[in-house]
Amino acid sequence: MKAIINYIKEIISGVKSLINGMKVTGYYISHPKEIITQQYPENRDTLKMPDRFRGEVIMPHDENNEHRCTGCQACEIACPNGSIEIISDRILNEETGKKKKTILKHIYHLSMCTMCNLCIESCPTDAIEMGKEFEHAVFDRSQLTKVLNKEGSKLKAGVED
Amino acid sequence: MKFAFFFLAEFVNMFIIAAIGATVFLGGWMPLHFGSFESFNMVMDFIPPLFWFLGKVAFLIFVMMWFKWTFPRLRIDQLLTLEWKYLLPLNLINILIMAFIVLMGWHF
Repeated sequence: MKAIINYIKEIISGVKSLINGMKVTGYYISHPKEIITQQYPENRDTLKMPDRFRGEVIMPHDENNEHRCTGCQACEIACPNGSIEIISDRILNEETGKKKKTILKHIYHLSMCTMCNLCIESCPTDAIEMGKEFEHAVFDRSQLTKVLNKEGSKLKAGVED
Repeated sequence: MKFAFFFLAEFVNMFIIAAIGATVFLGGWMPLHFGSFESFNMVMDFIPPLFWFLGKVAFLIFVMMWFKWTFPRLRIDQLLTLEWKYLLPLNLINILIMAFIVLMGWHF
């Protein structure tokens, strides 16, 4: 039953967004003098990228410096051009006394990434997402190899359950 | 010349679809009438049926072109998802609803 309700909701929101898009272009054809595109370098401060824009892969951390990545390497396997490398180790958990897989470094090569979104779709815990940043020009290409998990961060409790 | 024919075929196709749509769903050659607004209906009757039909077709072609210049083309898998998972079930539901309406005699 819930699936059917979601299905109908999806249709309604889809139709709404189609009408929204038609409104924008319909407004533009009736007001050809007005500029409706984003004037990028001028509006840099107020620029807001659309929700589905894909700029780079990021790993959100919450205020306790905790992320949701379990180190399952699904994104590494899904990546068609090997932009993601995960270095993990089995680290002893103090409470349970068992060794558990933990990521040390989630390495992301922005220079090789084509923003195909496959890693985000494959992530079972929604640990990574697409960031909106797109000004990636740097002077040295080594800066394009990024470590996504922050220094001293750890897995958020309850993600693996 | 060969390419021009393909391009022409595309637009002829659009016209045919719009003509069928106008005939089946928008009343084809018939003028627009609103219930009991006699004077309004009289004015509408003065416009020849040919212009009504062509006007409706032109409107549908405009909507089609509007759609085309607004949205990017769908990838083939997205197209198949749209058609099999959304349009086909909607069609079937629509048939059921129409059958019910005809059964109850709510149509005019």
